[in-house]
Amino acid sequence: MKTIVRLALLTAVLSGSAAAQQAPGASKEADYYTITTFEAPAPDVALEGGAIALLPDRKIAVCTRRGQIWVVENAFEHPAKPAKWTLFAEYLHETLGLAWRDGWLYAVQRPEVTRMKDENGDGRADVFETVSDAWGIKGDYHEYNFGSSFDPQGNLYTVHCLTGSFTSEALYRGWVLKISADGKMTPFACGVRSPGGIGFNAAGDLFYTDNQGAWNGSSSLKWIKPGSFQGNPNGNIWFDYAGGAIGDRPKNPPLTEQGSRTVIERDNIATYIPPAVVLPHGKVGNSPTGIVPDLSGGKFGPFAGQTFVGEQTHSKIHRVFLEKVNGIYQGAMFPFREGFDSGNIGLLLTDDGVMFTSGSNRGWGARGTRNWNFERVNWTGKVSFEIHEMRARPDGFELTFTEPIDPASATAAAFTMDAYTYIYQKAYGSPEVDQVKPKLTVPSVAPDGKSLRLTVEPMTKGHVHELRLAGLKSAAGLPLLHDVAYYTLNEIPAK
Amino acid sequence: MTLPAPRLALCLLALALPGISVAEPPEWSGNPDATLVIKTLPGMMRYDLGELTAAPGARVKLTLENPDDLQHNLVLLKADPQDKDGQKFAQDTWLLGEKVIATGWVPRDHPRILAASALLNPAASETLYFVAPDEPGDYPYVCTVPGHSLLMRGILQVRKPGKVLTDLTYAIYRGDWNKLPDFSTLQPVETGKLPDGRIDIGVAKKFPGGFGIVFEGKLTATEAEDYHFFLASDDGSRIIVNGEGIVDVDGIHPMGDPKEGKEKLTEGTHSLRVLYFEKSGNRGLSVGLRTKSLGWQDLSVEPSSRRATKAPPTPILLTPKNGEAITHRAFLPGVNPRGIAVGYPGGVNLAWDADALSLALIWRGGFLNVASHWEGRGSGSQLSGYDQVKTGHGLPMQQLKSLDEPWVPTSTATIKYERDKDNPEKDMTFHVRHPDYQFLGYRLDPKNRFPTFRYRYRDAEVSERFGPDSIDGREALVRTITVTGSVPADTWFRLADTGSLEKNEAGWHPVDSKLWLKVEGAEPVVRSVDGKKELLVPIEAAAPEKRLTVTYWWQTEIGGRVK
Repeated sequence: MKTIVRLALLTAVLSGSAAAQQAPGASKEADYYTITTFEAPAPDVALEGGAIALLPDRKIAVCTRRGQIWVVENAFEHPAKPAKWTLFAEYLHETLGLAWRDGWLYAVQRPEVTRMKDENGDGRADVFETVSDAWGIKGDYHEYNFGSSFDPQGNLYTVHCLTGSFTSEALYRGWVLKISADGKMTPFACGVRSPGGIGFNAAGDLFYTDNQGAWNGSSSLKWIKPGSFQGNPNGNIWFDYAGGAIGDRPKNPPLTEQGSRTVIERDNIATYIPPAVVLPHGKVGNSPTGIVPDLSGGKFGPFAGQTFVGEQTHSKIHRVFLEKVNGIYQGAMFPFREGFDSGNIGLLLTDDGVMFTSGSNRGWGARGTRNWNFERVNWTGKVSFEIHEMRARPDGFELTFTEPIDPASATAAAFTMDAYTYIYQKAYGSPEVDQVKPKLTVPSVAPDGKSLRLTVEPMTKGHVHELRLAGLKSAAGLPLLHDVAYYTLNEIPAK
Repeated sequence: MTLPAPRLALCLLALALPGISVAEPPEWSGNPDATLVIKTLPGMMRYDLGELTAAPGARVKLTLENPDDLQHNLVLLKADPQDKDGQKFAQDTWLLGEKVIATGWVPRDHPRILAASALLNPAASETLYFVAPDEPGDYPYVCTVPGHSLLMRGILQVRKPGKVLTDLTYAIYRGDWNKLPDFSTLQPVETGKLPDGRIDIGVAKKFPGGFGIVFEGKLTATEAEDYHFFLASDDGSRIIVNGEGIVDVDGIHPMGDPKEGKEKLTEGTHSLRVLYFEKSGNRGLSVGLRTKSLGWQDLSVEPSSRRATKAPPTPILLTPKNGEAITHRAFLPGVNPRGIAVGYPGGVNLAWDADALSLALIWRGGFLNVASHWEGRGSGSQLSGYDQVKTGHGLPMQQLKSLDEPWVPTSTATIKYERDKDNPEKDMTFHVRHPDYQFLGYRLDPKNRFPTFRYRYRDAEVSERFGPDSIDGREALVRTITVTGSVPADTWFRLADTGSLEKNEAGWHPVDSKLWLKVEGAEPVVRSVDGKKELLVPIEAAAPEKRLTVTYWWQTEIGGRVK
C-alpha cells in the first residue's frame, strides 16, 4: 500500500500537474486559517518585512530589510476597509526588530537600537535617538541583529549573528544582549550562530531561532536561559568584555573532527542549554525565523498558550508546544500553516487573535515565489482535528487532541515513531544519526476521547522523537489535519 | 533505554554524508575535451556562469566551487520542453522532501539527470565528469536545494563547434586618448597575427598605457541567423561587422556588464573589426557572441562577457527629491561600518561615521547606488558621484597637554581570533567604543529633513549640522559644530590631516588638490607631527557658545568620478 502511494506521488510530481506546484496542504488548512495577502502601498515598494509590532489604535508597524518602517491602518479589516499605509521612516539599516513603548517606536538595525518619534505630526519620524550601539560590527552581511518586543520590566533583547558563517570578529557577535528602554546594555547569553528571530513564549521566557550550520546539526528553537551558552563557542572570545554579567567563559565543546552529541556535552559544559525544540532541517524547513506566543485566550483557535514560529525557506508557520521538564524547556513542533507568498521573517499575534507575517526571499530563497509578503492569518472559527499537546511521560508521551478521537482507530498500528539526533560539531550541519526505532503501544484512551497515552520503548534522551499518526481518526471519522509531530526529548520526566 | 555508541554511528555516517562523492573519475579524466569551472557567488544565490558551452559528445570535466556560505549543488538535466530552465525539476525535488535529503537533494536515479554534484558545504568543491549529449540543444542546470533554483540555474549549450573567427590580425597604435580615435589616420607601431577566435590585448602588454589596438578577422556564418555580440572593456571599444558599428562601449571606464548588439548575418563570410583603446590603469577586453545554432562563443581570451548572471546588480540610484535630504544608513566604502550617507538637494553629499563620530567623506554630483545594499544579502551601498574627499580623520576631539602630543584617532583593542581552535594564535584587532564618546542619533529638520547629528564627548554634547552651499558657482558644504556643556581646557577639534593646510591669501586652508576649507568661530592652528600637518581648533576658545563653522569648498570643475 505504502509503495503504491509513493509511486502515485512520484508520478504526480513528474507529470508536473499544477497541483504539484502548490503547497500540498494549503487548501485544507485554509478551511481553518485563512491567509489575506496585502499588496504593496506603491509598486516600487519592496515590503521585505523583518519584524511587526502593534501600535496604539490598532495600527500595525512593519519594518523592512530595506530599512523602511510602514504604519498600516485598517490592517485588521483589509480588504473590507482598505489598508492605509504611511511611511514612518526609511533608509534605516536592515531593520529586524520593532517594539513600541511610551510614545517611541524602537527599531533594531545593524548598527544600533534606535528609537523614533514624529514630533511635528506629519506622520514621519523626525527624531532618531541611539538607544544602544553596544556591540561591534565589521561590515559583513551576516551581521544581522534581531530584536524582541519589550518584557514587562521594560527591556528588549537583541540577538547578534556571527561575523561570517563560522567566526565572531566584532564585539558580541554571537551573543544575546539585554537592553533597557533607556539604553543600558547587559550581556545576557552567548553561543549564538545565525539567528532568524527572537521572542517570548506565553510564560514570558525568551527564545530565539538558530539556523543549521556550524555547531547546529539542525535548525531549532532555543531557550535563552539567562546566562546560558547556546552551543557555538566562537563568540565566547568576548567574555573578558562582559564584566562577569554571565559568569565565566564556558569550556569549549570538543573541537575534534568527529564532534559529539548535545546530550553528552550538556554534562560537560555547565551553562550549555540544548535546543528546546529541534525543527528537523530539510524536513520541516530550512530557516526558522520569528517567534510569537498565543496570548489570545482562544481567539486564535484552540492553541492558547502555545508558540508560533515562522519559517522563511518553506514559507510556512510552525506551531510549537513547550513544556519544562527537570528545569529545562523541550517540546513538540507541529506543522500549522503553509502557502505564504514569500519567506516569512517577522510575526505578530495580537491578543485578540489575529496573526500577521511579513518576509522576503532576498539572498536566501524561499518557496513562496514573490520577493516579499505582508499577510494576515485569521482563524475561521472552525476547529481542525489536530494533536493539541504532546507531553513527555516517564515511559512515553501523552497526547491531547482538539477533537475527540475514535478510540477504535487508536491502536498501536495507527502510530509510527523514529527517533534520531544530530552530531554536535564544528562542521556545517549534520545528517540525522543514532537512529532508534521505538516500539509503541497505546495503553489507554481517555473516556472523553480527547487524550491518550502512548508507551514508547525506548525513550531516548536527547533525541528528536518523530511521531506519525496516519491511522488515527477523529470521532467524526476525519484524519488529522497534520499527522506528524517532532518532540525533542532533552529530559525524561521521573513521573 | 540505551544510547547507541556514537563512534560506531559516526563511521557509518561518513559514507552517507552528502558532501562526499563516491563516483570514480572516468579513464579520460586526465584528458577531457572541455574543462569548465563554475562557482557560486557569495551572498548572491547565483552561479557565476549562466551559460556553459560544450560540443556534442564532448568529454567534459566540470568543477563546481562553493565559496558561498550556504550548501549548494548542481544538477545537469536532459532537455524537457515543459521545463526548459529546470525550475520545475527543482520544485518537484523539493516536494520529495526527506526522501532526497540523504542524497543531497538529488533524486539520484531520476531519468532526467545527466550529472549531479553532492551537496557541497561552504568552501567545498567537486569535479564532475560527464559526456555531453550527442544532440545539440539547451540542457539546464540548477541548484536543487529548496528555494535556490529561482535564481540559481543556467543552461549548458551543446553546439557543433565551428571555426567562427579566423584570419585574425592585430595592429597596435600609440596615443593618449579619452575615446576611440580614427585609427585610419594613424600609423600602427606593431602588427601581427593571432590564433583563431583569440582576441587578446596581451599583445600590448609591454605598453603601460596610452595605446589602441585594431583586431580584424573573418567571421564565418554557417547559416543565416541573428548574431548577438557582447562587449565589455576597460577603457573603450567597439565591434564593427561588415563596416557597421554593432556595439559601442567607448570612453574611459572600468569593465562593466557586457553590452549587447544584434546583427542578422547571411550564410557566408563577413568582416569583423574590434577597436580598443586604453588610457591608463586597469585594462580588459572581452568579446563574445551568441547565436541559436552556435550557442555561446568566446571570441577573446578574456571570457568574462558570458557572465550572464548580473554581478554587480543593476544600479538603484538614490536622488534627493522635493527639496529634502536623504539620510541613509548602510555599509559604505571608506567609512566604518556604522555609516550614514546624507544626500542634499543640489548634489552635495556626505558620509557621517557613527563609529568615529566624524564627517568621513564628502562628494558631489550623484548620491548613492544602493543596489548591492538592497539586493542579495546586503553588502553595502556605493557612492555614485564625483570628487570624493576624505574629510574624516578618526575621533574628532582630544585634550592635548602640548601641541607636540600626537593625535589618537582610533579606539581599538586586540584579541585572539578563534575558529574552533583550542589554542588560537592569530591576533585580531577590532574597533571598541572610546569611553569618552557616545553617538546619540540625529534629528531631521522638519522643513528639509537635513539631519543634525548628536554625540556625547565626556560631559559635553556635540551637535553637527550640515548644509549645501555654492560659492562662485562651485559646490560647498557648511558644517556647524556646536559644543554644549563643558570640555576640559586644552581640548582641540581636529579638522584635517591632509593637504598643505597653511592658510592661503584668501583665508582658506587647502586640504586636497580640489578642496579648501575655512573655519569661523576660532582661530585654527596648523601643526606638524612626524612631518604630517594637522589643522586643529581650540574648542574652549570658540565663540560664541563654543560654535565652529567650517566651510568646505570645491576648487575644480566637477569631474573626477568616485572610486
